[in-house]
Amino acid sequence: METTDTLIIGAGPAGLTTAYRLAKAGHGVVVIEQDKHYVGGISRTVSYKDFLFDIGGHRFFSKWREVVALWNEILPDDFLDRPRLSRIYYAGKFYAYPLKAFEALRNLGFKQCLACLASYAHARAFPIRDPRTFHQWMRNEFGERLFSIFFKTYTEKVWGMDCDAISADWAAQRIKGLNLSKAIIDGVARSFGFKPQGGTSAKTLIESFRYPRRGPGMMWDAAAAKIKASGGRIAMDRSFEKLTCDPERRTWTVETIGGDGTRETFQARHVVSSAPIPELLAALSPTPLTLFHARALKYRDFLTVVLIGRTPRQWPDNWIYIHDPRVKVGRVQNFRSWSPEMIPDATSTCLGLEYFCSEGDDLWDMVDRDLIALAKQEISAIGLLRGEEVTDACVVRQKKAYPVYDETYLENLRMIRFELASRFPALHLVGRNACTNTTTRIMR
Amino acid sequence: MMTGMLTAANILAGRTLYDVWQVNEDAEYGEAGVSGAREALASARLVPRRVA
Ligand SMILES: Cc1cc2nc3c(=O)[nH]c(=O)nc-3n(C[C@H](O)[C@H](O)[C@H](O)COP(=O)(O)OP(=O)(O)OC[C@H]3O[C@@H](n4cnc5c(N)ncnc54)[C@H](O)[C@@H]3O)c2cc1C
Repeated sequence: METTDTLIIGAGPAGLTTAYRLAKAGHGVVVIEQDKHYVGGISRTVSYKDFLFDIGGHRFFSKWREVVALWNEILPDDFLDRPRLSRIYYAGKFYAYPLKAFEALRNLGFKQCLACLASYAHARAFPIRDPRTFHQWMRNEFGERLFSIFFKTYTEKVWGMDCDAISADWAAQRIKGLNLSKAIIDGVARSFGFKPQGGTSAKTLIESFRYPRRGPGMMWDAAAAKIKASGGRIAMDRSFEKLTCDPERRTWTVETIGGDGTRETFQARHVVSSAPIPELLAALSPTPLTLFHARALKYRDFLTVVLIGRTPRQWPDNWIYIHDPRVKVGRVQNFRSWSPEMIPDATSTCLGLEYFCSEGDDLWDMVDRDLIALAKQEISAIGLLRGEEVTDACVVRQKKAYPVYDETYLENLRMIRFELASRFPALHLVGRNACTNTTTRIMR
Repeated sequence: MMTGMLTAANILAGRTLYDVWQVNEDAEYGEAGVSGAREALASARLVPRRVA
C-alpha cells in the first residue's frame, strides 16, 4: 500500500492544476488517470499518424488573471495568437454569425430573402396564439422560413430533441432580446463595418485567442512533466474501484485497478476528484445517501470523425456550424486553422466532423467504419470535401462531454454537495463536475 | 482550473479558505471564449424542456 498526502482522480485540467500546485508546495500527490496514453481529459491533444486533433476546439481565453498567469508559468514558450473565425455553412454558402444583412441577402438570393420576409410578415400578421413549443415561438418571432434555416436543425442536433417537443419558455429565455427588426438594423450596421452599439462587442466577439502550437494537450503534458519533476506520481491506465473513508483516523483508502487488471491500494489524507459524480458516489464507502441524486445527473456525449485528405478548397474558419437538415454533423473543425502544427505537412486538410449524441443512441453505437462512411458521405453532400479526396480517417469518442443542466441538475448537485461537505470533508470535487454556480447564457 | 487552484490552497491551508462550489468554471473563458457547441449547450444552462 502506497501512502501519499493527496490522491487525485483524473489528469484533466482540474486534476493536474490541483496536483501542480500541491506538488510545487512540496506536498505529496498521486494522480490516477484512466486513459492509457493521454493526460488532459477533454483538453487533450489526440494524435493519429502525426496528425493532431482537439476535442471540440479549446480556445485559451480567461478573465481570471491567476489562470492566465498559470498558463504562462506552465507553458511559457509555446502559445500562438490565433485569429478567430467561425461561420454558419448553409446550402454551400458561408454566413457570419450574428448574421450580416447584405451578406445574408447575397447568399440566400433575392427569392429566398423575399420568401423569408414574406414568411416573417405572415407570422407577425397571424401569430400562433399562446405558443407552446420552441418551433411555434420561434416561428412567431422570425417567421417559419428563417427559423428553419438558422435555428431548427442546429438546435435539434445539439439537443437530440425535435423543436416541436421543446417547450417555448426555453426559447423565450434563450433568444431574449433578439428580434428580427433589431437583427436587421444591427446586420445592416455590421455590413457597413459598424460595431453594434451597447458595448456588447467586446464581450461577445473575441477576435483572437491563444492556443498552444500543438493543441491544448501540450499544456497538460507540460504540467504532468512538472508534477513529476516535483516528486508527484501520475499513474496512467488506472481507475478507482472503491474509496473508503475512515473518519476516526481521518484517512482515505483508495482501491484502484489498472487496464491490465493490476490492483493497487493507496492511503491518503485527501482525495480530489474530477471524475463524473455518479461514478464517484457509486464507489464511496460508506454509501452516500445522495447516490440516488447522483444517478439522476445526465450527460450528453460527443464524437468526432476526423477526415484527412487533400483538396483545393480551403477556408479560414476554425470551425463552422452546419445548418443543413440533410446531414447529422453539427460542426466541422478545421484543425489547420487552429495551428498549422496540427498538420504534419503543408498541403493536407484535416477536418473534424462533430456529432452530438448520447451513449447508447444510434450514432454512438455505430462502429467506426460506419461512422467514417457516414462522415465521408455527409462532407461531400455539404460540399466541403469530396469522398474520393479523403485518404484517411479515424474516430474520437468523448463520453460525458457535457452535463445536462436541466431543472433538476442544480437541485441534485446541491443535495450531493451538502452531504459530501458534512460526511466526507476530506473529499474535494474539482473541475467541470463540481460547479453549482452556472449562469444562463444566451446563444449568439 | 480555478477550482483546482482553490482546492490546492484549501488543502495546503488545512481548512476551507474558498468555497470551490461557488466557482463558475465557464467564467474562466468567458461567454465568447466558449466554442460554439458548448455555447449552444451551455448557453442554455437551461436545458430545453419537453412540452407538457
Ligand atoms: C466541445 C467542447 C469545447 C470546449 N471548449 C473549450 C474552450 O474553448 N476553452 C476552454 O477553456 N474550455 C473548453 N471546454 C471545456 C474544457 O474541456 C473543460 O472545462 C475541461 O476539460 C474540464 O477539465 P476537468 O479536469 O474538469 O475534466 P476533464 O477534462 O473531463 O478531465 C477529467 C479526467 O479524469 C479522468 N477520469 C474520469 N473518471 C476517472 C476515473 N474513474 N478514474 C481515473 N480517471 C478518471 C478522465 O479520463 C479525464 O482525463 C470545452 C469542452 C467541450 C466538451
